[in-house]
Amino acid sequence: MTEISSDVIRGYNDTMILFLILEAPSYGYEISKQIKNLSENKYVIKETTLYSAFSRMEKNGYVESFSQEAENSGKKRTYYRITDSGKNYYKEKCEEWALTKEVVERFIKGH
Amino acid sequence: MEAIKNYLDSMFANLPNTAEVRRAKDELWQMMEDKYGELIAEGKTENEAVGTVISEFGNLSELAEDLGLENEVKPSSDKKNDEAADNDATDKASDNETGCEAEAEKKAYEPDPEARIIPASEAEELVKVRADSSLKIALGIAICILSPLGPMLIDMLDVRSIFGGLGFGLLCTIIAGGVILIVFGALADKKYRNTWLEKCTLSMDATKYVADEKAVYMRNHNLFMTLGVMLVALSWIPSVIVSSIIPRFGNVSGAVFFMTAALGVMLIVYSGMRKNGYDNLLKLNGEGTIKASYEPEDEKNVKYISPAAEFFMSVYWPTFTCIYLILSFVTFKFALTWIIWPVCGILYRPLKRALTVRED
Repeated sequence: MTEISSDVIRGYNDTMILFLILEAPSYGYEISKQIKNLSENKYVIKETTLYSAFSRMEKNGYVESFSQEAENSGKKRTYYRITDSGKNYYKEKCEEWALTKEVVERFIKGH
Repeated sequence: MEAIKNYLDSMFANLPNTAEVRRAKDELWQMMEDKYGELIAEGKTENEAVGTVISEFGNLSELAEDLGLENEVKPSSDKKNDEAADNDATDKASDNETGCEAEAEKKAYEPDPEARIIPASEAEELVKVRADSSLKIALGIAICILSPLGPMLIDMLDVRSIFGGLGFGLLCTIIAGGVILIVFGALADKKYRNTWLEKCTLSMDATKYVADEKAVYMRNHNLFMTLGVMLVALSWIPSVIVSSIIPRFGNVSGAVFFMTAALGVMLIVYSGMRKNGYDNLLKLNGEGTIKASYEPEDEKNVKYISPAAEFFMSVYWPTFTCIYLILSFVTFKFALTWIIWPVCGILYRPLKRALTVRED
């Protein structure tokens, strides 16, 4: 079975994360679970990859973090919320992907 | 859960103890904890859940740049790391292939290739060795203090006229016994002291073990020290009581005095040496790493220039107590011998400062 190449997907981890917090803030495990579910188990993001993306995007001002207690368990978690510059960045990445996809598609056999 | 915590702890053990690193560790822990909880809720066994969490953890080198640790986190896959063999996180997960993967990753983060890593089993042995040698040395010193009891006994039995010099002979024999015990104690301590001479550092498991053992021991330590100091300082009280009850036997009250003082000194020496034993093991971890944060804050800046200096400071008060007792009873000039106390008190701080390494 073909597996996803981490080299290729690396450039789009940010896009996936930002997509998942476009509507409402979320936290580490929730995001990683949604990536797994939305990709139908084809992509499992590693914890270190996820944290690395969070910390980089926070430095660049695309996301903000805040601490909040979970509703049911009372456990303290770090939540991430998207900023306006994060939304712009997300749009740019979407356009970039559309272009990348369009270009690469032209070199793919079997359609 | 414990296995995951151990795994994460050992991954971070040798990274610098900075706010960024602590935050990364906390966040990764949150994610791992959540994932583990959900896997268990789905009906996975503990082993399966631990295996999955560890295999999906990823690679610390991904974080190196974000944390400013390009130098510390450097893949070196061909190096052997004792710590990996020592960690039970990987043992528990090793019944599925993820265990091997996790182990391979851990090998990649050897912080200082020259330092030998002491596993938990060895730390346990070192703690035992220290307890054993502390007891021997403390007992040896107590026996030396008790040596005047020999001549006193001879005196009491009133056989001095028959065996001339027997009292003095007995005194020397008892002191020799005490000294032999001290020498044995010092020899037993050699293995422990060697960790100072060769470049060593504790594994994460060993660090936790020593820190936990120390926390348990500290309760006894405070009790022993208080009791010891009280016994030495008030050692004349029992003897005064005894002499008022049976005034005819002056020697009995003298013997009671020595016994009280000996017990006090023994407690102080034993407990002081054991506590220093834990502290010095924890100090092997060096400063500034996550691992070193297991050392209590107030102890952090006290590091002696050599094991000899450390030993000297740990026996400082007991030694001068002995000198005080010996001088007092040999000369019977109590009016003068007390001067030892203020002199020692004044000298203590500058001496400690001179024998301590300061890194700030």
